[in-house]
Amino acid sequence: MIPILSPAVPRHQILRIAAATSLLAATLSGCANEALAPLDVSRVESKTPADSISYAAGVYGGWWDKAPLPGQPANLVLYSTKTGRVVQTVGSPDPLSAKNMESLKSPKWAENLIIVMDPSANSVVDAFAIDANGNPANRSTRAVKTGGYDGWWNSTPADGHTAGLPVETVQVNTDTSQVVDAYNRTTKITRVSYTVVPDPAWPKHSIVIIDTSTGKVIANFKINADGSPMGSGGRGDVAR
Amino acid sequence: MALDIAAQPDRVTTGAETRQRQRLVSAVRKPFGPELRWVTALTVVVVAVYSTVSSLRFNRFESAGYDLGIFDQVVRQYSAFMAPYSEIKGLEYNIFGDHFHPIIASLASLYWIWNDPRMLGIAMALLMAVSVYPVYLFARPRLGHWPAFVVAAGYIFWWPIQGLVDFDFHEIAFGVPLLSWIILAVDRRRYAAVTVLSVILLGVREDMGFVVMAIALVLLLRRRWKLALGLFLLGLGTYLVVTGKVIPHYNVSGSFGYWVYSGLGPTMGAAIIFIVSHPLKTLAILFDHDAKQVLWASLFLPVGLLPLGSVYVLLAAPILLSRLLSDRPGTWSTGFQYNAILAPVLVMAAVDVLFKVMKRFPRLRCARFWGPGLFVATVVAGIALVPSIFPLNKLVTGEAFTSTAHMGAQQRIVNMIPSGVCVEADDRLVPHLTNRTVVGLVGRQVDYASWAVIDFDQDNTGGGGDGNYTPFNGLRYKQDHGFQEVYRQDNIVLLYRPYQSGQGAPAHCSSPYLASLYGSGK
Repeated sequence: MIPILSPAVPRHQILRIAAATSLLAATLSGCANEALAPLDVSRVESKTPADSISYAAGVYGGWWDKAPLPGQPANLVLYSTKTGRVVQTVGSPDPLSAKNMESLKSPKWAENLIIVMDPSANSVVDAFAIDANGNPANRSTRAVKTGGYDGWWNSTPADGHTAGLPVETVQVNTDTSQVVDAYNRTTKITRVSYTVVPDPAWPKHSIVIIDTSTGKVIANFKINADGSPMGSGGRGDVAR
Repeated sequence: MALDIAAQPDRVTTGAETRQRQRLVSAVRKPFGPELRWVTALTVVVVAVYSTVSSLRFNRFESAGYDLGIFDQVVRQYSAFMAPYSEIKGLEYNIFGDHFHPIIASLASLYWIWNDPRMLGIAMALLMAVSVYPVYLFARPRLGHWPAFVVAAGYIFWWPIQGLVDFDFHEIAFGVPLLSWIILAVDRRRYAAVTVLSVILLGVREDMGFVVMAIALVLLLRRRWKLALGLFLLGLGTYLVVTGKVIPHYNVSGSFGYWVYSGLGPTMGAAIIFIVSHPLKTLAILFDHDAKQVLWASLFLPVGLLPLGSVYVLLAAPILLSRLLSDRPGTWSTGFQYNAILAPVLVMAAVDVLFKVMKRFPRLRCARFWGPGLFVATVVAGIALVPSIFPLNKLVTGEAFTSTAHMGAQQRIVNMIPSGVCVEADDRLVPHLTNRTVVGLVGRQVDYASWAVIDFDQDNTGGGGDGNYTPFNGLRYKQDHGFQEVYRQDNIVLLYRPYQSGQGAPAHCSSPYLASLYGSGK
């Protein structure tokens, strides 16, 4: 028998240990200095990312108009893939270089986008779809109909480093086992020959991203009946 | 009255119980007896100092989700008798898919006293304190009481131990006292204790299998053939099973992710072939970078290169080799937690050799005073002059007690996040949310989180090589997923996205444990 539980141990000793433990717990809990003051967010309504972009008199308004945070690029161009021209500048951006143009004219982009680029870093910091009148479009339902989904697997980080990212990926709808999109980072080609081998372990009503070099699923996400990603406003998943 | 009590059957104690109780009482009293009371006083100081360091790091937002938050989530799961999941590593990520350290389940009961990540700092201080006794007991018969005490004091405040405490918490904290006691047990030829402690050591981390194999080599030199063979096979078998079966079973990619020895080969077999066939090339890898050379010097020069003459240095070999042959530069560093387990090995090995030298050359007997004295002098000088690897410097100079406006903003924003919700947070804020929210790093719970915090005064959102963002990219990413800025202070942005049903999140991202404690948070 454990000595402390032995009948030979006086009850007052057990009570003393219990009291000391309680005192310790109370003391330690008292060290916690969190006086919670939860923020009232009851009036915050759901918004799609497109809702945060305004368009008036040919000028797009968005996060680039707010006071910049540390590390936020301040000199930007807004480039239309529809017209193939810069439609707006923010701050004093460098003139677009050949490298910038190569990025902006990539076949990766759909034809109805405004691309927000930091030319000095040659990085695309944002992109949003527009309708025929130039208004920002909440185009989440169009993603699958016209192309696939963008994410870390087929995009280039803002710092330009692609080490560790897959070279070639395919996107498979797990309900139809059809390839809905693909992308090769080296060739920039979206037509990839790939034979789908359905896996019963794949989640239903989802898109799985497969790295063709390993055949392994490297990402997956659920989608709505119309193909739009669940929990996403859609702008981040711009069609190509 | 006394007779009445004695007559009650349940109050009758047997002779065996009495002896057992006497042994326990004797063991409990021993640290306070004349033999060890000074060492016990030292351990009390150690617990106080290191608990304070951990607590101040937490309060100053210097601790991080990697690794304090991860271990906090895992231990909390254990304390609720649940599987060891860590949302920081990923939703439904079982920590056994990362490393094998079931021993940390033993900390679960501490969370019944205080459900807070700071409890791990206290636990780690206690574990470090426990390792002082074997170092002292090993040194005392060789050097005498006070020199042994000085060695123990120098050891416990040496930079490798400080580095561990400065890393918040790590499973290797268990390995430090265990290996110290194992060396003492080997020295005193208590082979039953060696066996039991070695088996426990295997529960600290998968690579402790190699350390147990090294213990077997030491026993082999002692001609304990059977025990040596048994421990060698146990260490090897455990490593192979854990890295070949257990970890891949729980790992999302079905593999063990820490075999990163491109210079040696893709598998352990290939690595062994390379090491055997190219010993000089292997040796060169151990010194082929400035960081590696600094590490060698920082470990062996303060102890006068003495450990190199002791058989006990074999116990440090697998740990050092596995790190210096690895492709991961972080493991070559004097920072982080990696070196703590080497500290007792090197200090005890140094004492072992110093004693042998004094025995061989009686004229050098005074070395039992100046040897430990020099060692402690390097520690004191290090604390005073090298704050980068002696973080106690901040305590001594008072820097650890200062606070900034940014820390105030961090605390204020943490307090704005309600309990029982799903959050993505900057790495430095994560430990402040683990005991009341389901929290992960930015970009890890895209489909589920309702709250997010991004700190633009940091270089990145945290998470190291597992993929992190610059604050700006993290903010863009969250805004692309419907998050809206609801508060901003001192370059920290608090984001919120109203909960949407159908996101597929279980009970609004709450684990059953948190849901039962805080409600759904909707």
